[in-house]
Amino acid sequence: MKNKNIDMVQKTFYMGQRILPFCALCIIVFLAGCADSRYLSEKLFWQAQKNAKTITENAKGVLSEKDYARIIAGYEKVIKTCPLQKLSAQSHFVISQLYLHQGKPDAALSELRKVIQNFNSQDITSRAQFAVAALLERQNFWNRARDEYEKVVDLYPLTPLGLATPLYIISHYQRENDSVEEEKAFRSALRHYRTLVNEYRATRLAPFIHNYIAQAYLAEKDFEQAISVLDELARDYPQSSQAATSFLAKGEILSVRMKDIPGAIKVYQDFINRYPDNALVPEVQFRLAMMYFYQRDIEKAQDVLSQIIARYPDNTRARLNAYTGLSLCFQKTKDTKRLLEVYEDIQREFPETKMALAIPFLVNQYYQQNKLLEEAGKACKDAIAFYEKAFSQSVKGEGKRSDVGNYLVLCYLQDNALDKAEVVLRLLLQEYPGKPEHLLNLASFYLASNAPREAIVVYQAILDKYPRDGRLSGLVRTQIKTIQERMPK
Amino acid sequence: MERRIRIKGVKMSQAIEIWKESVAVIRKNPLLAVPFIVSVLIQIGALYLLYVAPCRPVSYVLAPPIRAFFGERFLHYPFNLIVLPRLFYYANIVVGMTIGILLTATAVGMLADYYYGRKAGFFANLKAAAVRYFRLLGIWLIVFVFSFMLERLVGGLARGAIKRVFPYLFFIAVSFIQFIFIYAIPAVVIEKKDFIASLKRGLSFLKHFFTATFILVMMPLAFYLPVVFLKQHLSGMVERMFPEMILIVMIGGLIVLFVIDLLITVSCTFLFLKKGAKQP
Repeated sequence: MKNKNIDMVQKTFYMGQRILPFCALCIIVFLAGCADSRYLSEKLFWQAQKNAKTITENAKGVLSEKDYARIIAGYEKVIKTCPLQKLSAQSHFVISQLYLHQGKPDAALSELRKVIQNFNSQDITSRAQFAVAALLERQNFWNRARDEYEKVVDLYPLTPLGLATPLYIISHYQRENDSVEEEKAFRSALRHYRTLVNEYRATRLAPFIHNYIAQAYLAEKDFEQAISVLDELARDYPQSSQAATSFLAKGEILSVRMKDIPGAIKVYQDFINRYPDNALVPEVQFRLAMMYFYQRDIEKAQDVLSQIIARYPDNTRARLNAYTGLSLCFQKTKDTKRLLEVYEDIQREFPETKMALAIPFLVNQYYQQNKLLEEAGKACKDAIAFYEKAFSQSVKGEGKRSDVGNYLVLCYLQDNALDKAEVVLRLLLQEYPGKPEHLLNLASFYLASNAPREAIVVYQAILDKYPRDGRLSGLVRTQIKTIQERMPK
Repeated sequence: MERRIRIKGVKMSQAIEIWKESVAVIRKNPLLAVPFIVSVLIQIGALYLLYVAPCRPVSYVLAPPIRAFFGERFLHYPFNLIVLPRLFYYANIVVGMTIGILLTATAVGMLADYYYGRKAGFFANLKAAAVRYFRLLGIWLIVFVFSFMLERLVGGLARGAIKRVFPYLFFIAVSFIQFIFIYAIPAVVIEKKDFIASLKRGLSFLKHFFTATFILVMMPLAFYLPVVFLKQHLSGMVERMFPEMILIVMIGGLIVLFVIDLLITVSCTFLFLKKGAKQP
């Protein structure tokens, strides 16, 4: 009996010896699983973001000092708990932005400098350094800002920001119309890139840097030099992904900047021959088709676009582009039947896209342009019915509602239903105050209501609100000029 | 010792009697609940491991497959919690077809031992279940394949408003499959039947005691419907509260399922034992 008891004790002891390490391992896993600093930082950052969202919503967009302090406290918790994590740096950036919103640029600068001091990841610190420079530039301390931009170039030469900053400096002088400093900045940028190319000639970075050299020439409108650099890139680094994309860049320079359509066609054909299996082939084929279109060789354009549709049954983007291209071809040849067929294909294959949404409006516009007034009238009524239904079913705040509303206003304006257009416009401007298309529509509304002075005021407001959008500013300036010319003196 | 009473049906009151008896037996002999406790602990453990999958040291093992099959973002907060139900579904399949099925058979064996007045040992019954593993696995696979097919069928038919009740329809459909094969495991464990014979025996027993079994299985399962409701509205709850809500609902669901499993297995096994189980 005694022996049996000893046996049992020994068995239990041996079993315990086997089970205990397992239990200990389980406990370690259980505890260690929660203590991962990266995961903790993600959790705290998410909580800080949610906290900020709730406070902003409760304050209805107008934040008090106390609100700012509460939001900042959430992000400071991330920094305090996980100081070396990436999201801690991100928290510094957010806090800096919040200080800027509060009108405390010095506090914002100090927050950014903390990132530069505390982190060693070049990507993070270069971002902070660039943000410091941008902040100083916004405060009109260009000389100090320039020094900080130079630091980005010198200290972080191989980061995306380090490589892009010389181009940014050129663009600053272009905006300021300072051609002397612009020329100096251009020369300095070229020197910098050439030094880097020589230093990293045998590495994967070299084709990247070539691209920046080409961009510098482009900034100076030296298109031939830009093309020659891109040729150099394709010749010296034929296996790099930049070699393939350089053809696209070349095609774009030739067609858009130099208006050399035959040259662009040659480049795109060359790409297709050299890289027949490249993922960019459908995109290049589309561009090629558009070049034929601009050359008024509609048959060839149709042929290439039909090839894209036949060859890439699973490539949504390529197919949608091709259908859109075909619709342009049929508009040009005034082939109404085939145009409507293409529009039907788009609505069937891509019902959720912006293009599908635009079709009722485009049909109306097509008939208007071709003076088919009876069809245009019917198409306009159909489009209004379609957009009214879609607008009533849309959800507030969603991008689609803004687009539907935009088309609805345009159709109302076309139909001379100015009262209805005004109601929808006011609603859209209230719901989407940052969208320029609604402001443009408001100006069109004033023009349709014989109120050109009000239209000019709206256009001026667009210019003040979007000074850096070159395309928009150009369009608006042309409109203002046209109105002023028509106005009685 | 063996009691064989041949009756054609059992009324609701008799089903309640069996439940009362089952609860009394578990209270008197809590060791009978050990297989269920082990099972739920393993499931909670698996859930916990999946929850901490983005963190070291678990991430060394679990992060690569999650990254490969779901994507990098599901290794970051809060997306790791959003993918948790799906990951747990797969983990549960693995647990169910291995240790889960063995533990159910162990529980049935322990109940039979208790019923016949023998010593109800956990390890002895686990060993006996392991010997019959492939028969048990066969039964599990049949239930799984039918459930999977039903999911596809119900999911394929679900349109518009029906889509909203799809989780309930699916739960009821899967419960019904489990109900059909509920006596196959007792037939393997208690009557030591082979795979095909156990299926036949289970179905013939179910034919005789259809109503009683329906009450014994479906009524406890109805307690799981609030969990299905919560799971369906998880995204809204996460939006309003916090992502950990997913984990809380899932653990709650496991605890509810533990009680349901215990009640169904014990009551159905007792019904099987009382109404005609033949010991080889």
